[in-house]
Amino acid sequence: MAHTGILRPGFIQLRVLDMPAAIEHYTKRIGLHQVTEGRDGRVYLKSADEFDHHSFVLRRAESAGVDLMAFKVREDIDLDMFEKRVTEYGYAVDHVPPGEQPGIGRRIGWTLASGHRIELFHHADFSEPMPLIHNPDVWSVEPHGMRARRFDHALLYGPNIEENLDFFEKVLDFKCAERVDMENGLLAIWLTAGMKAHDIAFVNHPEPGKFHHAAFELESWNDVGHAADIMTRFDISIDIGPTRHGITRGQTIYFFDPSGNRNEVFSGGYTYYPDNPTRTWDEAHVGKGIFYYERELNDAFLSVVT
Amino acid sequence: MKESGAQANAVDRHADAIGLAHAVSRYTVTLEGHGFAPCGDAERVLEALERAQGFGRLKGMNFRLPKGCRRGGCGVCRVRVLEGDYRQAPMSRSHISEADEAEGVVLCCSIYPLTDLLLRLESPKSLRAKNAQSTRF
Repeated sequence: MAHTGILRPGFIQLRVLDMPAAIEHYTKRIGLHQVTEGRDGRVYLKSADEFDHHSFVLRRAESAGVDLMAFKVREDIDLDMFEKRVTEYGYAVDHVPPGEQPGIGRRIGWTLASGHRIELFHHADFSEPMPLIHNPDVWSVEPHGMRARRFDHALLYGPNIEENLDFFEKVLDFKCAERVDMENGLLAIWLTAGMKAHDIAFVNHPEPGKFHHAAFELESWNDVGHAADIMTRFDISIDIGPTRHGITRGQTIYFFDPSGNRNEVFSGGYTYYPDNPTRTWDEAHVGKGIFYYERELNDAFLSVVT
Repeated sequence: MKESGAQANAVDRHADAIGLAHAVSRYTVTLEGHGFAPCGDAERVLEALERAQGFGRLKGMNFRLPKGCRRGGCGVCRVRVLEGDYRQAPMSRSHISEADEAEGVVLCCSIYPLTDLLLRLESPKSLRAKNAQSTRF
């Protein structure tokens, strides 16, 4: 198996202002399933097309935004290897005991130079609903809402993303699939641990620890259109789309959850191989890099975050 | 029973379509120096202002109305309510402190009018922080 170390995004934990409204949005509209609610009130969600216990965690709080994003590693011993490497890079690593989130084993965590908390874990229980394994039909329970197939990636905003790039490449073995360089420096990076065009991305921003969006993958461009119908029918606040990204080539809609956290649903995007060169965009072309049809950034892209 | 329920639903839908189902109160939201917008009592003030700008009714406004998530999280649409009463949905404490709230500083995406309102635009906290730090953007 060629794919070792970090496999993929495991889960993200977001802060929401109104938990019942958030649950309705993520289950009925996005199409996730609620797996369980923890004793501390956190709510654990997944797509029926994911095996692991959960991929999306909601925490009731007074401000919106992101608490952490966690990646799954292939072997338990990888956690010790990465702890050593992260520590040697100079970041303080802490330990989260198994069961701090239901169904998830031990985790290690640290804070990036951009102010975001990143965690790694290996063990996740399976939970229902999940894909069938023996003579598998295409789904076990009928897809609903926007028919999200997985939590796919997140875009985070913060300072020092040059250091994030160095850290993810040297310590976590990610590759940089695409980058945007402005005349005065690095604006944005798209990083992958596998063969998707991105698993996590960063945009340079003065405030640390900010959240731009969490993305759900859909099966097709038709499903992106269906998602847009749902957004209008249920008065979901839209940022932009349906459109396409030049960067990653994903066909997309940006919209907001009831607490103002941006979501994305998208389909497509190219396959990235680790020997592919990094694709680069400059200031004159960043508009179509971000929004390929509009060919310019909207007001909200660089300024609206939680 | 089932049939009469269905009939009632049909009547409701018809009433809805002709605007009778809900006794909607409409108020006037005035944005100081920029113009005014009619706003229903179940409508987010920001969305009424966005519509008014779309119809060219915010004649004194020579820039795009500040709008972001429209759901109380991002802080872009901070305003000070100078006159009038409103009810409010949750807003992020990162952008509206308890002191702000006591003074009537709110995110206008997350308030609904109970009377006519007079508002003044406030710059978002993040924008003020950005200006102070002289960022590269």
